[in-house]
Amino acid sequence: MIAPPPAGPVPYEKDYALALLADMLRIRRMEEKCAQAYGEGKIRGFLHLYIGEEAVAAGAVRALKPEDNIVATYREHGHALVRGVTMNSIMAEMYGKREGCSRGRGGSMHLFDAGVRLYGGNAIVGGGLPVAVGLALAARMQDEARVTACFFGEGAMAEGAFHESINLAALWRLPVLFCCENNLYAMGTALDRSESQTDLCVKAASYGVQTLKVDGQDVVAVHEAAQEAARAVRAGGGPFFVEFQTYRFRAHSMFDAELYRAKSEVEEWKKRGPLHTFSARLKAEGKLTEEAFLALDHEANAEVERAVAFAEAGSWEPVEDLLLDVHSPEGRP
Amino acid sequence: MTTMSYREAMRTALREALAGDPRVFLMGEDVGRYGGTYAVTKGLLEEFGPERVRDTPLSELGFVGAGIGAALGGMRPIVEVMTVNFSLLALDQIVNTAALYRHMSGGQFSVPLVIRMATGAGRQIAAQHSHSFENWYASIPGIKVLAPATAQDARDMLAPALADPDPVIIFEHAQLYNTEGEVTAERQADIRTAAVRRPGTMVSVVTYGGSLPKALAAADQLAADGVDAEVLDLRVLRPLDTATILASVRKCRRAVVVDEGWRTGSLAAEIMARIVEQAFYDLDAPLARVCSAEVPIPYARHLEDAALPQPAGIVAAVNAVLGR
Amino acid sequence: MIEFKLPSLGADMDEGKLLEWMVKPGDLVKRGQAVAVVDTAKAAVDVEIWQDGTMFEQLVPIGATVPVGTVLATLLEPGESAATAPRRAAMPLPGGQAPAPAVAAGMAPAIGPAVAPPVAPTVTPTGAPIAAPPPGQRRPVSPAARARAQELGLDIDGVAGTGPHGAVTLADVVLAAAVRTAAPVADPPPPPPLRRPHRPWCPRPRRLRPRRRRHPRWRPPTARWRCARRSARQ
Repeated sequence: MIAPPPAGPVPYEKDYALALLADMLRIRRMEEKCAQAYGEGKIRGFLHLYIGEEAVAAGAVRALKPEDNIVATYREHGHALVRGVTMNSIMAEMYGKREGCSRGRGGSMHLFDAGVRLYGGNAIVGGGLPVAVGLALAARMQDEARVTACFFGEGAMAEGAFHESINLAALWRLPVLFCCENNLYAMGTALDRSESQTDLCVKAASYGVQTLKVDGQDVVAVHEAAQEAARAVRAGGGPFFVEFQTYRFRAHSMFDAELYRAKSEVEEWKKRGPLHTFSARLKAEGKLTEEAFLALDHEANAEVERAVAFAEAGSWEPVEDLLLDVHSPEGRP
Repeated sequence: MTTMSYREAMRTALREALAGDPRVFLMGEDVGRYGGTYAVTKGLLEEFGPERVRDTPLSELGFVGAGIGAALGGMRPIVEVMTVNFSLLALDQIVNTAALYRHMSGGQFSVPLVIRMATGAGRQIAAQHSHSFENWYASIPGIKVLAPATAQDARDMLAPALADPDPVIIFEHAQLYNTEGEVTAERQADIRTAAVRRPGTMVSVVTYGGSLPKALAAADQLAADGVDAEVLDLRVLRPLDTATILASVRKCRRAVVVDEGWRTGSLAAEIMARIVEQAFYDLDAPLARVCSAEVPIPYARHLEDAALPQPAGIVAAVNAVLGR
Repeated sequence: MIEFKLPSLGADMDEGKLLEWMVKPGDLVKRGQAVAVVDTAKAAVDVEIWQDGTMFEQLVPIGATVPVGTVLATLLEPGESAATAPRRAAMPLPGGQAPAPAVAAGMAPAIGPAVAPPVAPTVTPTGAPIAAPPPGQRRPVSPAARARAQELGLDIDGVAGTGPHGAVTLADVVLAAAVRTAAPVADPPPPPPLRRPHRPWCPRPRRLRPRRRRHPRWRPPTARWRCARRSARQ
């Protein structure tokens, strides 16, 4: 039932392929540290880990240009990191420190960075979709060649916001790249328990948009599909919907007894893990040695250690500034 | 100085905004070809074209959210939600996105969006089309809420709302569109202060929006009876101009708040709370309020009239506060 | 030596009950391996370990409920010897359950309260000289105090205020009246009943008389009424 692990040639130069691998490793190691820090009480609130889904952010975000916009969900650590938000500022944000990318006001679910056009970190399922449509509308009205990529889970496709947004985007032929990360479970509700039509591309196609369905565990497939879709959107073809079929290896949030799926299913999917399957392919092609992998891993871990140190050393925003940033300074009552 | 209707004043403001800034565009249900449900946007499509006077599908959540995105993307959208009743479908985007983005992003992203909507009852359009939820929106940090009640304010308040870097909601009471008033060429109103519409000394009648004409009518009746009432138009519902409210109440020492919202949890309740918190010892009588009866607004004319604040009820409340 | 502590597994988890050890002392464990099952009050959850090592001492018995941060077990780091490793006192079995070990320091970020404590209002002690209000301003007098002063024929201007912003309160009036009537100050008179000076105006919809009460008659008192009567008699 579950497809065989991703395989086949990697059509990239060694350096490019290793950069994709390094991105996935950085996400993995950072989030493992987050889980640990959560257990220690350093990170609080909700923490939704992306472990298992790294190929999607690594492959899709890399297909975008610096001028493109990204709107993401509350499971957005990977997208932020690959987009260029520093691990230091991500970790500091999760620690609630002023040095965080949202100054400690957002936390894990609300990573923002204007510098790389990351428009959050939205914790209402489907909430980022209309915003993405508007960003694309603004780009069109200002003659900017900008693609707005909007990431959302398959759970969001049951929300009215999805249908309203894709309808508007298709109606106005806006440059929106709809990136559906289908990890099969909306929290604990399986796809076939929440959708009458489980073929998500069929749903999207009914709005007259182009669609693609790809193996989200295969960073090559993800990257190729995202590039093709972004190209089509950039060329003025209107919105594009890509379904990345992926799987979350860990709990939905930190508390999750995972009563809704069998451990054996998780183990089966782990065989399709994006990191080890991609590493194996690179090794088979002679683009990666075990030593080189360990060196990349060591580098990722060192970056994580630096980020933790940065976050630990960060400062708390003074309580006197509590009411800051409710309004802009010039519009403050 | 020109005499024009509230509708014309709002249309003038929209026209000035569209003509003056290429980033401004108008978007909403039937704002273009139809000319607007209340005919406020009539003629603007011909003048500015379908890109800038943009008809939307019936997708309040979608197009309000798109307005937020467009504002984030450098535009200055004016989103018309036909009425406050339909804004409930867009509540998530207004409350969870527009109002929070600046704060959640640590001050990186402002949402310079203006949302206009008609509000209020009084035309026998029954329970689902007669809401007054100004108080809901006025309770949310991160947005500003305006309620122009005169033609002059309708013309004047849009420009500063558009200039504001954060989201602003403008409530236009449907009963006001046909009212007429003098409008000066120069802008008079800001989006910070309340306005004393009728100075008085004996009781402060605090109100806003569609209740202003009713309060003024009541004050006229009271004047004939020797009662000198001051009528205060809040104009800005968030942030409230507490200083002007308190100054009026300290002068008159009695206050009646008139608010078309339902009594429980009303904006009137908030105003009374502020008066009690800050001017308790200046009062000479318990405060009173005239609100809508706690019933869905009925269709039948006599029942609708009975449910809403009316001049007679305001007069009675003022007299009771004065012990008359 | 690796300390395996009970992690916080949710925003609302303060403690957990150890249900099961998935490894026994001497077992090798790998980073990411689930080593224990803990009941978080919401569900039983597998708890993983973040370092490679060898399970050494299991300090918390099955069935014990301990706070987040409690050391559940110690593990030997790769290369560390059991012979030289320090030993910890194990927690007694539940039943004669001893107090749980303290939560490790640094579990939660130390932040003060978000709001500064309110500043206590300045209170003018009774008998202090009465400050005249600034010109054009009334002295703050509570409505209840004003009404009581009127009842007692007391000049409110001579009463010192101890309420917020120096307001004259009901107690100030009562005290001033007691000082005026009794030369040698005896016991202060009992406080007056908290009665409203007058019925404040309250708009009230005209109510239709209930139809069933066609013949209004005396009805037996309710339990509450009887209760009130009884206490009044005592």
